[in-house]
Amino acid sequence: MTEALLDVQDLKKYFPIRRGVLQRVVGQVRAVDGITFSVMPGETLGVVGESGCGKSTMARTILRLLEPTSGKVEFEGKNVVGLSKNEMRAMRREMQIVFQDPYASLNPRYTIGKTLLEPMEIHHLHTASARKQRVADLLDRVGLDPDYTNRFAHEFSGGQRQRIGIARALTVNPKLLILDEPVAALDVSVQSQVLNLLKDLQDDLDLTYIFVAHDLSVVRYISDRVLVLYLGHMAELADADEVFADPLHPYTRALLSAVPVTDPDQKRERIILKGDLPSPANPPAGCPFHTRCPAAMEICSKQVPAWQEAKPGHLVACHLYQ
Amino acid sequence: MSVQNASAAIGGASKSQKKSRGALFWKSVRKFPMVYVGGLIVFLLVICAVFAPVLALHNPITQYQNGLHMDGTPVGPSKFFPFGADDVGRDVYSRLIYGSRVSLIVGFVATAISLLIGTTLGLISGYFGGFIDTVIMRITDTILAFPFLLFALALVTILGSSLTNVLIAIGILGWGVMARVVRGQVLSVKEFEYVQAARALGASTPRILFRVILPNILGPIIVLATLAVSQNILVEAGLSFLGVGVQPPTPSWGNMIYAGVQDYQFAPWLMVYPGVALLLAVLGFNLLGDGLRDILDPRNATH
Amino acid sequence: MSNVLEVKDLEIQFEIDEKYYSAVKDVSFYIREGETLGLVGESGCGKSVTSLSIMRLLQDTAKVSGAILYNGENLLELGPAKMRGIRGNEISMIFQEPMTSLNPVHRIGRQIGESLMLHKGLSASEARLEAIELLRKVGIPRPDEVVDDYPHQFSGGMRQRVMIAIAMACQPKLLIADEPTTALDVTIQAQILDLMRKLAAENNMAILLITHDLGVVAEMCDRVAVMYAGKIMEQGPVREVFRNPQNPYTIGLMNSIPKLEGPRMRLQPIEGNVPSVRNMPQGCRFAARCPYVMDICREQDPGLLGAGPEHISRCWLQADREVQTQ
Repeated sequence: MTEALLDVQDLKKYFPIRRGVLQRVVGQVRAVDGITFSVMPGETLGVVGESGCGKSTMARTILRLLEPTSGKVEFEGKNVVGLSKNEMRAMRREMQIVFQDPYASLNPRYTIGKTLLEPMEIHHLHTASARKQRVADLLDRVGLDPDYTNRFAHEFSGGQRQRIGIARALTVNPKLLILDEPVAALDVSVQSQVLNLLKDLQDDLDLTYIFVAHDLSVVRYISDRVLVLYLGHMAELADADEVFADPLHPYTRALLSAVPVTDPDQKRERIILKGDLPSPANPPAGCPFHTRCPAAMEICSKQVPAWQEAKPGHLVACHLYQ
Repeated sequence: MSVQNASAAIGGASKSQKKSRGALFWKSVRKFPMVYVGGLIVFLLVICAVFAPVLALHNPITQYQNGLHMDGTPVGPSKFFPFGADDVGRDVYSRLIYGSRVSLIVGFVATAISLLIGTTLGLISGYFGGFIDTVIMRITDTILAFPFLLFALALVTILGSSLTNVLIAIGILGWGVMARVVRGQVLSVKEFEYVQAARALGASTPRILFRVILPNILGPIIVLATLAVSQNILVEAGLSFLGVGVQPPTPSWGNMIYAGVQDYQFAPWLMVYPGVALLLAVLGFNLLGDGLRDILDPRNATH
Repeated sequence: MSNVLEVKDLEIQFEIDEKYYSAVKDVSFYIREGETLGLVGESGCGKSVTSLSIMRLLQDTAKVSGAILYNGENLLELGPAKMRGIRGNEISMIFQEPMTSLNPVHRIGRQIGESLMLHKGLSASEARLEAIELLRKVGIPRPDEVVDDYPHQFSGGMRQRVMIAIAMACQPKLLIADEPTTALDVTIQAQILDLMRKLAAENNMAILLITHDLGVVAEMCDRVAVMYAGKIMEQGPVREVFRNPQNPYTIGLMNSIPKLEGPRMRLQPIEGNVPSVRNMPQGCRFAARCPYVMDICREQDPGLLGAGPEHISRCWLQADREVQTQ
């Protein structure tokens, strides 16, 4: 069996809630509360969930843009948590991130050339002339005209900016790319262009992806395996086809049934969840989903369901399968 | 979607047409004509200061015998003394021209000092947050709570009256507002994903602070600095008026007004001309600062 | 059934650098009583501007021409006072951002009751009772308690329910919903769509639903109009258009969406970008991105041509098909 590229174990990220003049800690927002998974080289792990499920926080914590509260993040066997500043800087060449908002993720004062040159300067990669050549190659690779180097971010459309964001992440030749809602802000026709680009890049450059999104059909399209999160907890993890064909967790089922489909004749059984997401500052006892779960039992409000295999390769945290 | 958003969507499409930042800047300058007036005044002021030896008719510290009447009172405006002479027979016009040098030096250098301190502290405070932020902001509050002129007065008294000491006093007391504003800007800019992206790429903290964040908050800093220049010119005039600023015979608008106050009943020009000069200078910088604020405000940006 | 709203040859122009450009042109559609029409398209296609022009909420610099007939009366010719009598009373609107469309400093009961006091002449206490009733109707728990809460005490989904309560207060004949669920999570979106469908059926209210999500259109609408670059490209009954799309743009949109079921095929994106308002192509506006483009497409706009009962498409290919069927 091949070694996992990334191994995340019991990752937690709590944000303190401070109140009053003395800024005393009065509580904690449990944004990510014990997440364990691994990613194999060359695969795409899709991470889905609604806002507040902790998927973006998880992405940033893996990269240590946020310091994890506890847990391990091992990249090729090396724990990223606890690396010194210099070791971390070297590690950043291996793992890169693409953000959601193509308007906020590019520095408005930089030209595109500068945006792409800077990472290579930071890591002292290549000679000056080789860097320029690489910028041109990267732009060409993501489907942009290499003559654009002297333009500023505001001169580009959302889709073009997202291509630049992807090129920036690729400048340092990373092995793992964390894609945090990379197409959520784009129009459908542009969204498919970017999705296809990501697939092609993965094939050509042997990239491994963690693809974070709220759009289930997008996740289905791009992922090999899918992890469903709810309120900072793992609900379900399995092969993409398996998750969509035979969802086990009631939350996954509700999520799938809620997606509007483009076929006006398709009458599906729709599960409409009651109520809102509970606050992660004050999560329910037991299973975090039991307050909205149509299949809730007595045990669900008392005991946290174990994370276990319900079918081969299909993990789920739900009392229905224990 | 609001009405603004709707029109922004339309404006947004037009943005793809290439137009340089410079061209856009000058286009918005036309919408705010007062910035011209301010800019013109400041420009003339700089000309006065730089070309003072050419523009002045006489030596500003030479005491002319024909500047005084037989009874020792100064002569009024004439061909030889366009703005009259002062109580020891010096040419008011020439002193006024040379006085602009003091005002501008104080205005620019003192502002530069407080800008350096304020921007650095504001950047650090806003970026790191937490304990560092609390400490720096409490110090800032303390500085802001000082009665500015009074403390400058005390400081200059201790250090001794000289142009250099005035600069230092104004400079190290004036950074409070700068630090506050810069910190606020940093707080909003550091949340942008391009800052996160720079961190993810392994950029060092100084690089993020000075090469990523700073260029994006330059607009408000420029506006604030322009307004600070006018304030500092006034403070220098105040200190000189109180006798602790620039020492005679070196001319400064403040000490000229001070000298003029005693004789204002029979020689009003002694006070009026430096007073008007001071007013114009302050007005010029204020108009420029306000205008720049309007132009640099993205809500007023022309697409 | 009679038409609640009829838009005829609508053109909306905006000034950019002292020149006027058409953001919306040749837009005509109608909505029958109690019917839901979807106006779908990508950002910048003019769908939101169109909805704002119906409410006459565009800024004064926008030039609007054509006719917008509400129960036979042209809204574009009404005086400000008469228009105010229609807004929020006969025609209501809900927006995308439930966070910013409620006033943060007023209690929600007051915000709901405001239009009742304004249009129906209710007293403050009557309006409050009515507000509680409306909150109950839109499915907010404990309405008699939360009526005195402020917007920040509500979640995004709950705020959108409050917005709907405000819009429903005067039992309007037409609800304009501009991306009402775009900012919400899918499970909350399902709740809100469900609620809108229920309320529309109960009150025989027509809905103009503006969205970029074809799935939402398929679930909610009776008929759909697909917009591109300021023009309607295809219009017809939802089933017709989704089952048998005629316009290459509609087909392109359908092919570029990943599906939840079936084999995972490579997506077929529409290449290129939307043209800018400043230089709209002379002929068909989709010509530059169309896989079936012909010479005539670049020169002349085909106009809307019949493709079936109530089904029209703006495409030269349609012209050929029409000839063939004759």
